[in-house]
Amino acid sequence: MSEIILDIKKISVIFNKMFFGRSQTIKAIDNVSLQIFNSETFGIVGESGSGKSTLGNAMIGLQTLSSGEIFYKEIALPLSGTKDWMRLRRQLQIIFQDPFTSLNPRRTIGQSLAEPIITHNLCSKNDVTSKVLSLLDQVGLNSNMAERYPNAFSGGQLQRICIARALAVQPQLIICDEITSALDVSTQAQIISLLKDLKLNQDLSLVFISHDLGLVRNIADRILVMYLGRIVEIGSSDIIFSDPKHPYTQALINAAPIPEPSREAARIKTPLFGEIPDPQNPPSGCFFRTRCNQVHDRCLIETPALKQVKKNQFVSCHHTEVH
Amino acid sequence: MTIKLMKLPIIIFSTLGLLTLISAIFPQFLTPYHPDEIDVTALLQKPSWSHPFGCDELGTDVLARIIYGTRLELMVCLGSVALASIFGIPCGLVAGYFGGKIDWILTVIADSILSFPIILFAVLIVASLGASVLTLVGVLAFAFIPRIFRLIRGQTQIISSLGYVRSAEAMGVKTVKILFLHILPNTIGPLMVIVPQLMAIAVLIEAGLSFIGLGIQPPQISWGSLLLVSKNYYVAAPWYPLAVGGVTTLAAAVLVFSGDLAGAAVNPLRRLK
Amino acid sequence: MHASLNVKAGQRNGLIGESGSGKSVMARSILKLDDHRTTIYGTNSCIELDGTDILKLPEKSIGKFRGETVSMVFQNPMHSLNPSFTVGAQLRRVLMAHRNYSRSDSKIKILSALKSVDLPGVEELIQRYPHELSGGQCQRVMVAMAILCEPKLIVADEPTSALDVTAQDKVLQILKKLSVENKIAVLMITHDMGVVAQFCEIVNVMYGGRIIETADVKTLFTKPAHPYTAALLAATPDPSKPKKVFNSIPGLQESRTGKMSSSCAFIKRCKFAQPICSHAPEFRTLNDGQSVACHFAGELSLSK
Repeated sequence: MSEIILDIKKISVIFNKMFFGRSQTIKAIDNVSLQIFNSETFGIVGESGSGKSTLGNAMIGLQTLSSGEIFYKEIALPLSGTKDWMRLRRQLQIIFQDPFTSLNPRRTIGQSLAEPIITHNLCSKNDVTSKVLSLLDQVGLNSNMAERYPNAFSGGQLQRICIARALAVQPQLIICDEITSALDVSTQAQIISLLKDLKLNQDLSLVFISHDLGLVRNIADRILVMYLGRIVEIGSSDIIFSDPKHPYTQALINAAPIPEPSREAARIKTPLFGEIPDPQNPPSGCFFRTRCNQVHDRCLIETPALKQVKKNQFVSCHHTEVH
Repeated sequence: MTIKLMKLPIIIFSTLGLLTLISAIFPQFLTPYHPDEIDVTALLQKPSWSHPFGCDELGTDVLARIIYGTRLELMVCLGSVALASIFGIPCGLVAGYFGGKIDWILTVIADSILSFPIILFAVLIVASLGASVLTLVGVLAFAFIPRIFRLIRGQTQIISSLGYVRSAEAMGVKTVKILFLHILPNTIGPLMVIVPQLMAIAVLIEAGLSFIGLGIQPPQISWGSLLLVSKNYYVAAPWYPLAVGGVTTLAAAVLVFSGDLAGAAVNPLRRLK
Repeated sequence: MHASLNVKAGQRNGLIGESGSGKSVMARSILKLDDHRTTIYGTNSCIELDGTDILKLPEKSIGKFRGETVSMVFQNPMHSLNPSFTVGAQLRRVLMAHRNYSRSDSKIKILSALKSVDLPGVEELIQRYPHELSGGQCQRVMVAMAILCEPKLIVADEPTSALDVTAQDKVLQILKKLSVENKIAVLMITHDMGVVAQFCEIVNVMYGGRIIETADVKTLFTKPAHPYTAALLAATPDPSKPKKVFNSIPGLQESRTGKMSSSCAFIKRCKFAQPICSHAPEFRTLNDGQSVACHFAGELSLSK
């Protein structure tokens, strides 16, 4: 196995909100440990409120942890402002969901792309322009676009520019937080192919956060399934999609439509009952027990630990021992 | 089509703005009369072609006095808003961006200032410090700071969560740069709406304070001090207070309307293509 | 926009297209919800609902059609319900606008509608406010509202694109069940090929303001006849298949201001484009009920 670039050790993120004097705590991430390897694509799936975006932010040090540690190549992710911080900012990048708010509307594309180059002194002042143009070229955009403002572009083009901006510092890891969910299918395909091409040409790891299972299966080497801030199942993408062990993963895959009418019609659909529990007041024991169809007494009391079931598959469910 | 419809008000408002500016800097270009010229033959003369707003109790052209009064008026308006912005904008940016304790403290201070009626506050300060242009500017600025602060703070909170600010953070861009390069320029739209409104409030408060003798004192000319003098002649020469009051009201109204227009004009979604 | 489309009674129809293709305009014009000052219907336009051309009807009488013959389910369920009123009050208002029921009768009707969309605890649910419900539950309330007056057609404008997969699955299954049981036709507007595959019987593909292909769902997915349909299928990720090479469509859908161009709308992005494509192709019917607007319909090898 290749080198570990990000080692996440038992992290939790707790949000405190004061509401009319009463404090409410939400555990957005609950005791999550995982590793990201060099030049892999790691997918994170889960429904809204599962904590997948918070985890993405935490991975690059943009989210204060309540407990636990994250190591980037054996350096602990420092808090902002320290000396290591600037160095890490060149290694860890993020691209956001909404391309329309990801670029400052009052700065030209060229100015936006030049910012990371200037901030990190990546080249001499005279070469900034040529560097910006080569970045635009790298993501398949015309050089004359540098002069224009973001409102002159379509969502897909803007997302390409965001990719170019993230690439400007030549990072080791890019978090892609739902980067195609605001785009059309054909544009989404363009962006995904672009990411795949870029990955081939350089040493780059991607964390791909999405609610679209088809997309994640298509791009990710390994995936993580999250539910209410906890790891449900983690492992090789192909193994999990073909043989999901956790009842939640099974339900999720079962719910995602297959774009082939005959095979879709032949499937036996077993929809999940109930709703995601209130994160302020999560159930005891296994978080999924309120919607699971195979609960027993143990699930009410004990939180299941993450257990290995196959070479590349880890599941947190009490039933996996029975299997 | 909307652009064409927008053009007419822009022309009207920019003409008015230009007129104000000329009367403040080069008032002699707009009127042949001097505001202190006494003409005993024309005491409280009715409006005529040569004196459109008539003459005052000393025979001076009322229009000339109004035009010459614009300079102080504009100084009070711009001075107070500028001073308020110097303090209000950075505080708003810091409070909105960092949140937490700083935000709480600044917001409590701003709210306590806001809860105090401006006029009452102005009367108290002017009464204790004495009436002068500087006091007036200071008092108005103090009252405007929390208004600008609150606006900038709210805008900053919204913009801070947007992708371009968070990308800049992830990129390691310095906080000062984030505040002044990424956040501040994008608050301009709402700021352009509130600034003329504050200026309108400034005009009205100046008029009000001068009217009760706490603002700008004669012989300095401002619309408020003119109003104070003119009220004595409302029976003998009703056009005199009417002209002064009318101009003041019109100025305030124009300022309020131009705010909305300015806000729309600086919207990057429409302008920068 | 220049498009023809027909939905037969009880049929689950799909209208698929990307943003800017005109699919939402189509949806709104069926109910004439567009601003009448900015929307111009062509002189030959005709929107016939249950035998009546609503374009010729005065504005007042269209209200009777909305909700009673056709009802609509919108994309964002959280914005479709008024946050200031309880679920029950909103459903009752819709019912009262069209039917002359007594209070107790309307309650029975509302409860049965909510039960039919598989919502639990309906007696308690009608007392609750929209923000107390999840997105999926809100959308099911919207579906219940849409079937209250027993319409003949439900126009669903991207009803599941704001929902999670599990909630989407549930809403689609409920809509399908209601459509089959009550013989309600559904026009499902979406950009998601997966939704089409799961839900629809007949699919209309829209591009550049025109319908470019109509076929039954199995034919469309196995033998797409328009290059755009084929490209769309190739660009759709499949959760049941491991990594594949994505075949994306080059370029962008062009904005359509001014006059409709006389060429084929897809000409600039089509890899099969020929000189003849500068004339807009006629809508042609191939065998097995597939209609395509392409000069080379049936001649291109497009299947996967």
